[in-house]
Amino acid sequence: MKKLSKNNVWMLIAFAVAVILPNTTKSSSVLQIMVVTMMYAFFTTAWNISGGYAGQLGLGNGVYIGIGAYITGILFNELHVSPWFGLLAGGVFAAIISLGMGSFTFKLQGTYYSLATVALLAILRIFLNENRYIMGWDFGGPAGLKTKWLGVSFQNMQFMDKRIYYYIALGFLMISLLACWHTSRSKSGYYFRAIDTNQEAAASLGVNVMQYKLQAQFISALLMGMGGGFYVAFYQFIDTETMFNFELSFQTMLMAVIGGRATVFGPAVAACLLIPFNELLRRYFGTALPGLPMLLYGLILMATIQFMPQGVIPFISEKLERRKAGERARLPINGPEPGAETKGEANTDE
Amino acid sequence: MNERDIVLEAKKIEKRFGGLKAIDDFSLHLYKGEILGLIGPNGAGKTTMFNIIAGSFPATLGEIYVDGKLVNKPQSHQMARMGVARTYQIVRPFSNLTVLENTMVGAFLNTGNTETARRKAREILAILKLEGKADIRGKDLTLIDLKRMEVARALATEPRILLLDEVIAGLNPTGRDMVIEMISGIRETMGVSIIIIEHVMKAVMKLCDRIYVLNQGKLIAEGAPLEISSNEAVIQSYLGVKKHAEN
Amino acid sequence: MATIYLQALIDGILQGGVYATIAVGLSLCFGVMGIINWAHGETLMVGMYISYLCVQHLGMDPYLTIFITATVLFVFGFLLQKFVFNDLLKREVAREPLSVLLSTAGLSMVLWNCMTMIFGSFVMGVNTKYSGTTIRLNDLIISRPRLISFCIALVVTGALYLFLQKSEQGRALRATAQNRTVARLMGINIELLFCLAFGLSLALVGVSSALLIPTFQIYPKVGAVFSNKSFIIVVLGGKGDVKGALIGGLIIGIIERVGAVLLNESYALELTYVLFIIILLFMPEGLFNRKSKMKG
Repeated sequence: MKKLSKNNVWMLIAFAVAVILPNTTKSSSVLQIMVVTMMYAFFTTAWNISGGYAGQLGLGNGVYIGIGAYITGILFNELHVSPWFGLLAGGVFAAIISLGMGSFTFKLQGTYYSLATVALLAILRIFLNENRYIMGWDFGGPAGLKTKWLGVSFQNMQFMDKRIYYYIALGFLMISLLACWHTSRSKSGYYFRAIDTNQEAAASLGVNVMQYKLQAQFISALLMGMGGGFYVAFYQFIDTETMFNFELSFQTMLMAVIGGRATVFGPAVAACLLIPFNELLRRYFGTALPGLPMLLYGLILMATIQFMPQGVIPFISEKLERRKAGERARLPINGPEPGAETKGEANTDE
Repeated sequence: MNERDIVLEAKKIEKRFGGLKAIDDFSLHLYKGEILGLIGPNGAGKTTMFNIIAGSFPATLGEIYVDGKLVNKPQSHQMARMGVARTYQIVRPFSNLTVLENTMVGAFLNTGNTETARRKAREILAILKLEGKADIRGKDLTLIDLKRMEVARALATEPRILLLDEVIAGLNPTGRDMVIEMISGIRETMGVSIIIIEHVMKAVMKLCDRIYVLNQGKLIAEGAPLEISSNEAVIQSYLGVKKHAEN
Repeated sequence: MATIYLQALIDGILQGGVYATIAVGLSLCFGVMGIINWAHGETLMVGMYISYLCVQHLGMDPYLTIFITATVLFVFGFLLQKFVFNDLLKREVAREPLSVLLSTAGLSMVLWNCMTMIFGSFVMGVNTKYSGTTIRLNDLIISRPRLISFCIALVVTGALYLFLQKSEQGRALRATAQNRTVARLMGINIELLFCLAFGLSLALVGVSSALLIPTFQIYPKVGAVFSNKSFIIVVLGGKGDVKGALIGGLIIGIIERVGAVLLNESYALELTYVLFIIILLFMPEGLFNRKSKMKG
C-alpha cells in the first residue's frame, strides 16, 4: 500500500521532533498545550480503531474516556491505587461497558449506536450529578472530583515538571499508534474495513460481523478508558461537565474524520494541527468571540465530509496514486486502447 | 443411477415475505463437480433461493444440507465457513479497497496471516487474469472487472460450492466468452461445484450439466440443457420470450 | 394529594404535545432518508432566537411568528438538503448515510457557537402577553400559553398526518421510505422529495420554536436538550411514524412532569434516558411498529 522507506523517514523525523519538542520551551502554558495535544492525539487514534476502521461511528464514544477517568480518580482517592493500575482498571471497565452497548446495538443501524452512546453520556452525567456519594465513596457530584496532591511521585503519577506528563502521553500515543498500525495490517484490519464498506458482502465471505465489531469497540474503549485515567492524573480534576458532555466526543471524532479514518497517523496529525490552532484562536479571540474554535471545527468537519470524505491524508495520497495509475496504460477487455498513455488522472469508465 | 456425492441439497424450500410466497416447495440438489443452472423469468425466485442457500435470510420452511449434514439456522458467515461462497447480482465491492485487498478479505477465511492471505489472493487473481489490476481500487473498476473481482473474492475463500448470480449479464460478447471460459476453468482446475443464475441462454446451455427452471417460485422443469430447451412448459413461460431477445 | 399528580399529568400532556411536534420532523427524515439530523435541536434554538427577535423588536405576537420561523427554516432545510446532504446520500447508497450524521454533527456545532457568538450564552426569557396567564379548573392551574401551544401543536401534527396520508407528495414520501429504488422507478424525483422532506422537518421545528417562546427560556445550549428529547421520541415512536411521534412525545412529557413530582427533575430526565436505552435494546423499531417502515 504505502512505499515503506519514504514514510519511515517521515515517521522518524516526526518522532524525533516529538521527543525534542518539550525541551525547547520553559513556558508552562506552552508545555500544557503540548501535553493536551499528545493526549488528544491518543484519544483520537484510539477512537479511530473502532470509528474509523470499523466504521462504528459512536458519536458519544467519549463516554469511555469519562468512565476511565472517574474509575481511576476514585481508585486513587479512596483506595490509594496508583493511577498506573487505576487507568488499566478504568480501561477494562470502559471496555466491558462498550461490549454491552455494542452487543445490543450493533445489530441495528449504526445511527442507533451513536444515539445509544449519547444516551449513556446523559445517564452518567445526570447520575453522577445527583449522587455525590456512591458506596460511601466521594464522586464529587456536580462540583467534580479532585485528586489529592500527595507530592511528586512516580507511583502516584504526580509531577511538577510537565515534561514528564508529556512523555507519558507520548508513550500512550505510541501505544495507540502501534495498535492502529498492527490492526491495519492484520486480518482484523481488513475485516474491519470490509465491514465498514459493505457489511453483507463481508458476511458472505465468512466474516462474523458482530464479533469483529465488538472486537474493534473493545480495543477502542479500552484505550480511551486508559486515556481517561491519564486525563485525571494530569489535570487532577474532572467533572461531569467536561467528561460526559458532547464536546469531548465530538472533538475525538472530529480529528479522526478530518485527519483520515482508516489511516494510522491521520488522526494524530489532525490533533497536532487542530489543538494548537484551537489554542491560538482562544488566545487571540477568546473573550471577544467565545466559541469561535468550535464553530470553525464544525465548518471544517462539514467541508471535509463534503469534499474530502476519507479525510485529508487519504485525499492527498489518493491524488498521488491516481497520478501514477494514469501513467500506466489501462487494458480494457477488447485489447489495448490506441494511444493509451495519458498524463494525469486515469478516467473511470462507469 | 450415479453414485455421485451430493454436496448441497435444499429440501422443500418455501419462502414467504409477508403474504407473498416467493418460493413454493422447491427442492434442488447439487452433485460434486457439477455446474447447475437456475433459470426462470424475472421474479421467479432465483436470487431469493441463492440468499437462502447462502444464509442471507432463512427459509420459512425447508432445510439445507451441506455434504449431507443439516445446517441449523444458516447464517451468512456460517455458510461461508462451510464452503458456500456467492457473488451478488448487483456487485458489492469493497470500493475503497484495491482488487488485491478485496480478494484478501476472502482469503483470510482460511488463514490469520496477512502474507499468506496476500499470496493466496495473488494466485486467485492470476487464475482469473486480474493480476494487472491488483492495485486498482474497487471504485475505479469497470463493470466486468468488478464482476470478476466478486468471483475472485468468493474463490479466495476456497469454497466447495460457488453460487454465481448473473455474472454474465451486462457484458459485451467478448466479456461473456471470457467469463464462460472462466467459470468452466474454475470447475476444472479448482474442483468447485457451481450453481449459476443466468439470463444469457447461450451461456447456460454451454456451461450447465443440469438446469432447474423456476417460475413464480415453483419448479416447472428439471433436466439436461437439451431436454429443457425442448420442454413445452419452459418455452411457454420463459424461453420463448428470451429467444426473441437473444442475439 | 392527587391533584398534584393530576396537575403534573396535564402539564406533561401539554408539554408532550409540543415535544411531539418538534420530534415528528426528525422522525419523518429518519423514515424517508434514513438520516438523523444531529443538529435538530440546534435549528430549534435558531428558530427560537428568530422568534424572540420578532417578538422583542417587531412587537409581534409570538404565535404569529410561526409563519416566519416556519418559512425561514423550511428554506434553510430545503437548501441544506439540496446543496449539502443530497450529494452525501448519493455517495452512500450501499450503506447507511453516516456521513450525513457526521455533517449534521458539525452543523450542530456551527449553529450552537454561532448563536453563542451573536447572542452570548445568557439565558433569556421573553415576556409576552401570554406569559404567566392561567386558566383555573377546580384546583388545577392550566397555563394558558401552554394550552394554546398544545392546541396548535396538535393541529399541525394532525395536518402533517393528513398530508402524508392523502396528498400526492405525502404518498410519494411514504413510498420512498419503503423502497427508494422502486420509488425512483415509479418516476418520483427522489432528490426533490428529500429536499421537501428535510425542509418540512425544519419547518415543523420552526413552528415548535415559536410555540416554545412564551414558556421556555432561550439560551444556546437549549438546542442540545431538545435534540436529545427528539432522539428519544423518534426511537420510542418508531421512525417515520407520526402517530408514534405524538404518543412518544406525550410519554416523554408525562414522565418528565410526573417524574419531577415523584422524584425530582433530574431523575425524571434520567428516567427518560433509561427508557430510551431499554427501548433501543429490546424494541428498536419503536413501541408500536414491528416491521413497517413508515406509517402516516
